Amino acid sequence: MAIEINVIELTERYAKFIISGLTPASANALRRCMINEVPRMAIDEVNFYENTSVLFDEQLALRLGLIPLRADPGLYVLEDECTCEDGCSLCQSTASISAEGPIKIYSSDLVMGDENISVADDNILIVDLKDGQKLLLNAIIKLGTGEMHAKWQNAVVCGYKNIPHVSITDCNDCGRCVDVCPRDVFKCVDGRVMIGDDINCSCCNLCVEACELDGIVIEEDPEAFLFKLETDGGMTASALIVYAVRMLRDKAVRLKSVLERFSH
Amino acid sequence: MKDVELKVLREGTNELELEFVGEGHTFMNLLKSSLLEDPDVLVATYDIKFMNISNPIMYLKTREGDRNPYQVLGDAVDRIITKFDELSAKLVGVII
Repeated sequence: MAIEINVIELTERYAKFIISGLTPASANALRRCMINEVPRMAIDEVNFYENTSVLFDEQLALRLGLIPLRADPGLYVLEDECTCEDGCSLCQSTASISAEGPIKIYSSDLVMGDENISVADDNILIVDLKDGQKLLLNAIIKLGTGEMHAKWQNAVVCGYKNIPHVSITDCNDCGRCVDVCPRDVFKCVDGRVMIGDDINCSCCNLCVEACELDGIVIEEDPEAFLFKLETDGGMTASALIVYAVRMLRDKAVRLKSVLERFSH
Repeated sequence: MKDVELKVLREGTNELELEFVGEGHTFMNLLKSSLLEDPDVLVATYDIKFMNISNPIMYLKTREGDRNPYQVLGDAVDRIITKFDELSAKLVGVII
């Protein structure tokens, strides 16, 4: 079956689309890849030169690591795949904070060492420094994947459901299904019960139970999926989908070449 | 990108047991599903013995025929490549 894509909503950080012609395993592989395997940059090591804030070093380091960074993962290499010995501009980048209270330190106060990396959101509060408190640190940014740590997870929310198809086979217009449906799939128009938009159906089957004529049928299309994807700004939603598809495809290509060596 | 690392645990005329180093459900389930589309595949399954620690081990049994198990597996991988190439192409028009 041919693949068809229908984009319902697309913003920088959110995508809602229908893909049909995919097997359930393909849809799941895509979902898992977007969450766990597409790499991104995040702060991984922090050197504290001075920290007299109310948060101790490790707490601050965790907060810094969780700040979403916007960067193109294609420009960098994973640390264990890098050919360098101790770190280079291909596998690492830096950021620093130098501040003295009274001041609230936000993610926008991170001074990036690389112009290709920026903070995805400016207004994340890192720590509130009171009068006389100082913070002087240098952070090392590395590439990683969601499998390694949640700070490297690309898709914040990524899920799909099979496209539901609701149909009425027998009806006496009693309207019970309209009352009982939590998703407003049914509507009453001029005394007749009709199906509104069945894409919102959650397949809870409350309508099937409520119908005294057993006249409602709910079916799920096994090869059509409604995807909802949200990123935290590290990559745009569309870039993430494209990257994940390419990653899975490239992995299959590399497996093919390994297999060719084996069969000879 | 790292190469896919395979270890052959068992090889037979119509059987194959392969260890995929560093892989997980993301790719293994996709591969298994593609294998099961082939009518000449009798058994296609994978197992991860200890979560997060073990490598997946795939077991494949094929029918007697023109293709050896490696070729059957190769054809399953080809189907994945074709499908994802098609997906890539369709995305270009619509989501970028």
